[in-house]
Amino acid sequence: MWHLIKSELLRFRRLGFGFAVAHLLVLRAVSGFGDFFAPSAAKIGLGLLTYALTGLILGLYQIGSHKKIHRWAYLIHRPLAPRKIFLALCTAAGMWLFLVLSLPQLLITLYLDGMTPLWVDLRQYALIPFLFGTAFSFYLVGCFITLSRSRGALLVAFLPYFFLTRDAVGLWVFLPQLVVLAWLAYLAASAFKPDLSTPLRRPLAVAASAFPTQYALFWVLVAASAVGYQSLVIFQEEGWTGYATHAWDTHFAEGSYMNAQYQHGIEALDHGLRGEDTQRSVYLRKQIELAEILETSPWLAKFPSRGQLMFADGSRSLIDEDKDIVWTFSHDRMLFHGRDQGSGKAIGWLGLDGRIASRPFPEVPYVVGNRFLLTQQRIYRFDPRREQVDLRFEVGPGEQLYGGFEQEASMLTALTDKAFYFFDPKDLRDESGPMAPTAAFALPGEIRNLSGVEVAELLDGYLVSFLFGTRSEAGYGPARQIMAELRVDGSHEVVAERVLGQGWPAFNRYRGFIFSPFLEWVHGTAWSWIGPDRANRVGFGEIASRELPASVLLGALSVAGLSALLTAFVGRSRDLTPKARGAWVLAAFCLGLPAFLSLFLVTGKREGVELPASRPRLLRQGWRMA
Amino acid sequence: MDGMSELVIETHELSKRFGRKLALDALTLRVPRGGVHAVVGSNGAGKSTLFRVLLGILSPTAGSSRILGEDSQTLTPETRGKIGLVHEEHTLPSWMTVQGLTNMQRSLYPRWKEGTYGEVLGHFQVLPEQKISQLSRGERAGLNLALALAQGPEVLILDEPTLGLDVVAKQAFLESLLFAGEGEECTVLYCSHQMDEIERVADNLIILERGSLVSMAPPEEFCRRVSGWVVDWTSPPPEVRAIPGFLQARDVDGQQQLMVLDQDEGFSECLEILGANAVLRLPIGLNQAVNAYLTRNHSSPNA
Repeated sequence: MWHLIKSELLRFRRLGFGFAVAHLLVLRAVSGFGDFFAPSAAKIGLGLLTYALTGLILGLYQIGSHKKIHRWAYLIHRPLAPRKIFLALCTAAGMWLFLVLSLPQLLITLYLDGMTPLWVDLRQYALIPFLFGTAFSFYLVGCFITLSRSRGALLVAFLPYFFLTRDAVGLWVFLPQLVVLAWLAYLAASAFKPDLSTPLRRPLAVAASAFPTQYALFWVLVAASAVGYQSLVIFQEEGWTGYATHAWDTHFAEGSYMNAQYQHGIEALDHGLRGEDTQRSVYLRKQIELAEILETSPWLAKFPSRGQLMFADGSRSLIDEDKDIVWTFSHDRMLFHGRDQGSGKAIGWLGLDGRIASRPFPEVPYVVGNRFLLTQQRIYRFDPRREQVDLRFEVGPGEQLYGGFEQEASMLTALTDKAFYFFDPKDLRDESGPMAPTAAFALPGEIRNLSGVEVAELLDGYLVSFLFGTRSEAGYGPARQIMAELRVDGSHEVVAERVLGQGWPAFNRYRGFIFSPFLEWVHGTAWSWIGPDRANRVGFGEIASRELPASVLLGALSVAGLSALLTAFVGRSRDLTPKARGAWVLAAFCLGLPAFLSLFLVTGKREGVELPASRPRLLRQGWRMA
Repeated sequence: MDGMSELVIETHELSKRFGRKLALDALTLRVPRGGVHAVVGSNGAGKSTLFRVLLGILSPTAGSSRILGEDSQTLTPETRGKIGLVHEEHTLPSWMTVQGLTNMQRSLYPRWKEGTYGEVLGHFQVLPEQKISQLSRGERAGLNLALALAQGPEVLILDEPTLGLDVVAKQAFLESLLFAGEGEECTVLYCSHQMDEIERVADNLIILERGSLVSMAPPEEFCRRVSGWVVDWTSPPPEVRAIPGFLQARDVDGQQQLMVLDQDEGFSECLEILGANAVLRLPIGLNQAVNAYLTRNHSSPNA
């Protein structure tokens, strides 16, 4: 087997070494920019795309060049099991990907770590195997696409999405990636068989290829039906010309959540009071026309976690423009590391007690606007003049911040999962310690369902609008707008509450459930488990207890039944044993429309011999030599 | 060892369909151990498809095939090690040197025969340090054959191995094959359109037509079955359906050359009854016999 590995290594030696050197030069050039370890989302995307494409092209080319019929016979017909041959090809490809991608990264990271003032955390080394895993997973995708007889194999390219967008912490970041790698390796190894013209037959291999295909089809259906329905709506409302100019803010009916979402500032506050004709509400309406408005939302859905890969960092640097110093947070030390941008020299560490004692942060802070540092329960303020970090606000146990220190005119607010806090902006100038809220309004609903908060400063207090309903479209919470008045004396009361309807019809909102309740459930739980932000997490209990309209349940049941019937009918013309056909029918009933559609992509067409009754032959019987 | 176990290749009602085309049509074939078995047939007769099915690279649509007693679809690595393959493309890793490739093959095959390898390669001007990409087609063919024979195969499949080779390379190739076959227990399946080659090397002639076996016999026996006649007709020739065993007819200088199957000397009397003025029997070679046999349906495609 080693000779086969060596042969494949030799095969790509010129291209491989050339690519490695070019990659090293590019990384060296890029490392000269200050943001090498804190790149923008665009740079991250470009880097990931490059590595993924490198792996994909290697897989497509390596296996594709072996796939030509005579080359395939040469490769496969040898005294080695196909799996060993595939292992040899993969090993060689893995070694090349390491040499071409990982080694230059490692060399540059070591260089930056050892020979420059930049501080390099352990997680920056962890990025190297993660990127290798990304490239290798796409290499396996390329192998499977080439080895598979079906164009539907392209849909397995969806699998790496399970780890690419995730931001799990430390070594756990590798778990989803390893699972996907193992899955893809099994798929590609199963497809690597002497006869490439036949589909996969082993039940486990069929299931392993069918599931990602069905999952991808599920999303294709969800996206296509949304686009299709919305296009139809536009056409109905404005004809062909409407596609370029259609504005959705006028589409939704007044009193619907979708309509309320498009209201901002005075309009949003007025929307909340609509229908109220009390003297107080008339008074409030007059006031908000002249008032300053503060708009906020639970924008901080996710805090950075210690050891996370840089993709999820968002912002982690404080820039002191006066002194031209960049303070970059180190996950290893839990301190900010300072570097003079002019000289490039390291200038020390910054912690909770400033530069002197440098007490580590208990959590990784989220940097907001070069001034505030947010952790789950604390807001700190950075004072560049004193080079100090001061604690300015701390919430109680069990309470979590979702946004902090939004300021408009004389309003200063912070939002948690429990309450909406008001502060006196003058207190910010005080350096003596945590600020006490001047008022707090208990959140009248679930933070995950909160869409936005609008505050108008009145003569004698504040008028606050809470718009709930982000999860209502999926049936996980109510849609309503609550108007509350907060007076100077600290008292508060709800002055209006509007129950809002839904903007989209039920079949559009629940189309995922109608196509496949099971795949929608898998999507919800998988995303929640792998580690999405706090707002999008959906528990199993929530999914199970969600109240669905009867029409939606009937629609899902009809689609499942129809899918099973169609599968039973179409399955007769596919290359399936009766047992396998039964399994497909069951799968179509349980997994819905995507399972039926995947039947065409995963299984082969049945081919019979169908010999003519009489065929001219001189000899048909077997011969033996005497 | 009983009679059945001596078969190295055995197919039973083997069919392979590619869409609307039936490449193998209920082919039942039994090839005994030893000797060189030439597989001939016109293009599309199913020869290469048969080899691919035998090697498990294609699955049959119906029927079964066995090679060295093992189902072609589940060949073990050990059995694959006993089957050599040389095909027309002489596909070898072009990026390797001859020495590197030889080392790889040597490590793969436990029954490697260094002597055979050296002797076969001696017929060609190939240096160990040469890269495969630098070899001519003939040299690649020679190297490919040397590697295949050095494996010590029990079955050697040669799929049009001399296609595109010049006379010298072809000569060297055939000599190597004949030399290596001596005293070996290797069964060779030799597919070629070159009848002169087949005449030289084949012990047995397997003729495929439209995916079916139409003849299997030693070449000389097959030649005896096909006879050629020069006929001078007194009147317009009769319809070909009236001529027993008719294969092919050609007009030459006002006379007709007829090729027929399974007719003895009494056939001249038959021709005279049909209106022949003069009849002369012609000596024919394997090339003519096979050509006449294979083109018979070209004359009457709807037969």
